[in-house]
Amino acid sequence: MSNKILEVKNLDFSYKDKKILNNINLDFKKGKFIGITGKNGSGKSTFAKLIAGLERPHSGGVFFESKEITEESIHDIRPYISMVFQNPNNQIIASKVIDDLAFGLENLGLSRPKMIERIYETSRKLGIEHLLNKNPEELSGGQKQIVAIGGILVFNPKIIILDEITSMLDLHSKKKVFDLIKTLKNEHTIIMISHDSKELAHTDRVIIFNKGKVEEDLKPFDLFTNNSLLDKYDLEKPFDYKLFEKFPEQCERLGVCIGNKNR
Amino acid sequence: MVIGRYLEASSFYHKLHPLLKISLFFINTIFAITVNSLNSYLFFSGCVLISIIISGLGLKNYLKAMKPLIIIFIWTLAFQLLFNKEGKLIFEFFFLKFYDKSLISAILVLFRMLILISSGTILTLSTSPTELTHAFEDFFSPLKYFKVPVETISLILSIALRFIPVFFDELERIEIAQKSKGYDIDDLKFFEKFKYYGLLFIPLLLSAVKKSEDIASAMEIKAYGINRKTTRFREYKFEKHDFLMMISYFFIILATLLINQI
Amino acid sequence: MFVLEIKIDKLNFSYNNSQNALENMDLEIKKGEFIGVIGNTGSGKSTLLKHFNAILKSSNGTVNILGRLINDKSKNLKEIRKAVGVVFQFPEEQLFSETVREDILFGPVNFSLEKDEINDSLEKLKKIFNLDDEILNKNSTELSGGEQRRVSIASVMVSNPSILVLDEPTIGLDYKNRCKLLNLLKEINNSGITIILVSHDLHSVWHLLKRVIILEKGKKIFDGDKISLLKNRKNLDTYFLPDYVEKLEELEILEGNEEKALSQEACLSYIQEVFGGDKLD
Repeated sequence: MSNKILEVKNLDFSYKDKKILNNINLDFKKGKFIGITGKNGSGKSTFAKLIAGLERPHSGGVFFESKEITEESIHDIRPYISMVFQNPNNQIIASKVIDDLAFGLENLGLSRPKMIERIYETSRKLGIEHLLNKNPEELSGGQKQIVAIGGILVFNPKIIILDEITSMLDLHSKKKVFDLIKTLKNEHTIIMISHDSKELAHTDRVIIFNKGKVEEDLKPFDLFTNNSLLDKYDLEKPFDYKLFEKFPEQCERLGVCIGNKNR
Repeated sequence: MVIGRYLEASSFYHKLHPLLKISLFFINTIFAITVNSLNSYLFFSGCVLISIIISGLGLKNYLKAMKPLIIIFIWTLAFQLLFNKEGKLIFEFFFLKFYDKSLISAILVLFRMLILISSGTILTLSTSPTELTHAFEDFFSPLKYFKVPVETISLILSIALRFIPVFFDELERIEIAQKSKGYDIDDLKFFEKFKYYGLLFIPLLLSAVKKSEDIASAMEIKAYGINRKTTRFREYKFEKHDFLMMISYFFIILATLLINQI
Repeated sequence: MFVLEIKIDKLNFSYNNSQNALENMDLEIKKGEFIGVIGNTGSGKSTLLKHFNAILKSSNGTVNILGRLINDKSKNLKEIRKAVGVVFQFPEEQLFSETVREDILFGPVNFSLEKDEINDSLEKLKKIFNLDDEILNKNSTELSGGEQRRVSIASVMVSNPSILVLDEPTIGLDYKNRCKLLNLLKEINNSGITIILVSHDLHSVWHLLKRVIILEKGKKIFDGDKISLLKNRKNLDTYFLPDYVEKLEELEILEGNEEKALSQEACLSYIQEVFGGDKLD
């Protein structure tokens, strides 16, 4: 029985004669927390849209649980693969938070009792019960992103794709939102696009895109201890890794958090 | 239609079924156009004002929502007075002549507008954007048999209601940024003011395009359009207060029409 | 030139007669300072920022900008807007000209600056901001996010302000672009221009700041240098401190040695100093 929840085979994608993605081959295992990074223009956002089923590849395919995502099959797959986007301002469509949480379930044709159950379950999980009756414009950027996550969490998706969801937030909100993501990683497969080293350091695996190709696919430990790679891809070295570099023997004493390097 | 913003409160009007409210709004519209006598207008307007007070909606909120429209009232009145020349001359001021019948016509027109705009204001003050969209969808659903895309139109309506205030906020922010660079509308001559808004509209337009792309992606991700059969989270039930409203409204209309005949 | 660039005394301000957005604000800013103003949403920092270039004007208290007294009757504020350049959040969302050059020259044109002065400014900027003629001829939508951000700041700097105010200048930028921007700000400050950074947190700019002002619910609750800020940290909600400073606190070596925590480099050196030669026990 394959543990691969998502497979990408020989994927090509172009936009107006310009090749954005070139022969991408990747497998994603169920339950993992995968980070994707790369400079701007490397193709990672387009890749996210392709695996979320928002675009169709020009050649090759995306397979969810061994079934190809096509124009026809995407209808049935929608609740299982979902995505949260970068801009907190343009994702919440309804005029009240609770109605936005209901939107996706309405589209699926769920019965009203089931909708109510899912909405309250999700809002409890995210701690946003007190926001349910608010107008989205009254929320902070961080709250908006949490509501946006709620809007797709109601599906109970198997795969959650995050496209730089904290990049437009201030540090405090970034932490809040990311802490939430960390609680979700046990129940969902999470594919997170991010530039933020602190976030990438928590993943199980980091994939680096460059000029439409996958150039690196490694563990966060191997990435953040490799100064030339960090330099090449303009990634910041997290402070804990800087400490690790200077005091490899004293990590525990210094409370250095660098994840399990032997995964 | 009036863009009075929704007021979060729990007045009598707030509790009414949205479909009832939108139906009453349309009936008021027809009524405002067909009725002719000053007395019936006075009576009806009086009822409207009283209902605003007893419903708990608040005269203050109502007046606040109506305030921006005073200009329209004044223009309409002026227009009628200046160009409608019926009846006996009652007043002359240089080359401006005011006639008695046109004065009455002007006042009637004013009342028509008042009733229309008041109904619209009461509707938008007491009905949340979500309820309005659902009411709109339900009211026009018979048109679906004529292949009118009612659901799509009501979705567009709900997105507009949701994002129009956002554009006003964005416009304000752009204005502040441009003011900070020395580009202030107060410093411009009359005709230059048009260019001002033209320039400011460019980033707003770009932002609107970006917004619509993002909104479309968010909707697609949430399975929009996949099922023709969607269910509805919000439930609206007809209750005692709705019947009370219907009965009182019926009697008021009856009385108004009777007064109209007199 | 004025030594006291901005002097605010007992400023009170409220929007539409609701709660006070600013209460009894006293503030003095000297030439050449590099100040961080921090606070949460509702702290009044945006309101204060808008008083710096007279977008908001109050008569409840005195606001003195570059020697000129500003109140709600003040007119002809172009000279203030030129001398105090303000860059708001996501400034790249406000560009609208055909070319980058036109976007940059927009301010100077409004301020009726002399052609020579404008050309000189532009030449100087080209070097500091790394703008060649190729970029200047492009439309701003063709630039990358980081480039757009720097162009927006250039479009304010080109009018030669003596004070530069920035609202969340690094938000949305990745590491590389953040570093570039902060180096730029350092250079600008070194050339004598006063810089005021308004933000939710000090994480990325900590090493550049000389003075920190903290606002809470419209009031100023701290105003001093980094060392006294750290010494006072028990009395303040310190969500805004960088993680490397928090680490020193965690290792219990911050107390009494606050002067060693003024930048990431310094923190790292300090930890090395304390733990460097030790063996694991």
